[in-house]
Amino acid sequence: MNWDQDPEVRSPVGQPMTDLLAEGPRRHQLEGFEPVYRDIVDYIVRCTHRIWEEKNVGLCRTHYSPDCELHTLAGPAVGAEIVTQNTIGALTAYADRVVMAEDVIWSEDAPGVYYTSHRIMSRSTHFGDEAGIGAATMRGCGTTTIADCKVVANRIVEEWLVRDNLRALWQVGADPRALATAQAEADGEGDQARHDWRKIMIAEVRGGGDVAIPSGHPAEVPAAMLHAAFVDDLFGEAANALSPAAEIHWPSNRRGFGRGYWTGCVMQLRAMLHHCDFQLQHIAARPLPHGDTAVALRWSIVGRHAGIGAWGDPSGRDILLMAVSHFRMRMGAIVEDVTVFDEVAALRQAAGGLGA
Amino acid sequence: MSLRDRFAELAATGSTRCLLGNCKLEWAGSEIYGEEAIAEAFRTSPFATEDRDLFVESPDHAAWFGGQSMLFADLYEGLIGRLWRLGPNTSNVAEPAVSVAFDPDLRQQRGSVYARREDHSFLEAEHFAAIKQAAETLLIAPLQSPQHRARAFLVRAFSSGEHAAALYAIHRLSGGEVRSSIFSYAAAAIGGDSSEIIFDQRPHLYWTPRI
Repeated sequence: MNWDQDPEVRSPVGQPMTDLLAEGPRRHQLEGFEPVYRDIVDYIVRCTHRIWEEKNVGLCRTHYSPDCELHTLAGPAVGAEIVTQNTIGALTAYADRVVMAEDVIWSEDAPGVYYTSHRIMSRSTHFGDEAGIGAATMRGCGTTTIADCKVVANRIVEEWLVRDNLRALWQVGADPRALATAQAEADGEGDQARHDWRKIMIAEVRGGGDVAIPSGHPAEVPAAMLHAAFVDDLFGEAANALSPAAEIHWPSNRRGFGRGYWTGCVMQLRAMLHHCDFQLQHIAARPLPHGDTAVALRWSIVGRHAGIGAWGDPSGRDILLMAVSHFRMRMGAIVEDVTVFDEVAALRQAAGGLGA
Repeated sequence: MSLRDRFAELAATGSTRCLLGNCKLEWAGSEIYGEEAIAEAFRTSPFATEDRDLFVESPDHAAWFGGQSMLFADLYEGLIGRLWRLGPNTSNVAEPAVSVAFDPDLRQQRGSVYARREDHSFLEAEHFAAIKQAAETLLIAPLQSPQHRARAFLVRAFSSGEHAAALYAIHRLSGGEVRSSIFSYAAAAIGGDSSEIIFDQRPHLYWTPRI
């Protein structure tokens, strides 16, 4: 499909919730989807609302395939049942969780095979005890998650989930480094084969091979920027893709403006990760209001943790990061970069976790 | 009901009628998400203007300058998708953050105001020049000294008749034996009889480049 086809399937950006959740006729051909869903954006926003806000968690069984693969840096999970159980657990700890769709950037990668990159800002109260974190704190919290989903006939068949977990831990008063260390110690016990997924993912990223980008696709500019930075170490040249006043949101409350700040974020990672490899894994783009374009890139990097930096002293381990970036583009330049990855998972790996 | 009336309703009572459900408010160095939480913030600390105020709007932005405080908004068909509140506040708590070492200039030919005209659809060309000039003379020059290095980034700007409004991010690196690095916001209204500048007041954030 062309990235801007089906203009009637609109981004949630700028739309009131009453419009987003209004029922009505189909705007988009969706084979095998429940009649309530009007288009693929509506499917993602509405099913999230039904499951998380209306608490109809059992809908996970009709919205995830029985063999659905979930990819996070805590390790893979398989199946609708585990999604259902995890959602019940999360909603017990954070019962008033509001999941606000900031954007859904999607593509139809083959007939009937949709890919959605759903950026969510969640807001909730820490009502319940949590494994690893401890007792409920009753603190208010809210952080950014991006859920990339492959969707076929009303079911998510594969999902890549990135959440700013470090910010979330700070918000409930937890110590991210202590939690990561405890997780790493637990990872060292039992059957180590359960961590083989990480070796496989590292080998994939080390093996290279970026996803192809059609000529003229809006993803060309930000993908070239990431490539120039992480592969060629041409940070200044990479940053020329940004507006001089671009707004940068990176995990763990890295917030700033301008090409220099973006360069600082990238170099902070690159300084810690030697022998770095980068892989671009998915692209999508959609029109936004006011003539802007939204671009979603899923990417991973692997590097040897050999430099001192945000994660402390070098561990010498290979560290795998899976990230999703949402870029807002205007008149050929990137004016906003929202990048999410799980930095607690980086600390966990640096502490010796997630396998040898 | 005019856009200004709806802003006034939000400012005084926390009415959500002009807010999108997923609106984000930045105020005093904090981010507040969602119409419910934003309404509560305004109910707790109503936004008040002084006798002389200025409300300007374009199809995609509005700004309300009220003396020592101001609101700047991104609009979508008259509803606020993003909001900044600048001025006095009582908050002294900043969320923890990983600090990022960076060079704002990336070259020896240093600038003081970083801006791109094409980023601002409803900004007239003559206002763009004036807004850059205002940043240099009213924002950066007073902050620039052997003890401070300041840079402005033009985040939002629009024209509204004879006026133009701008929202800037300001980065300051203080001098001295131990330096501090901080981003904050400032807003300017130019045109008409005078110019107005309002600075954000946010809590100090310690330099924490490690977790």
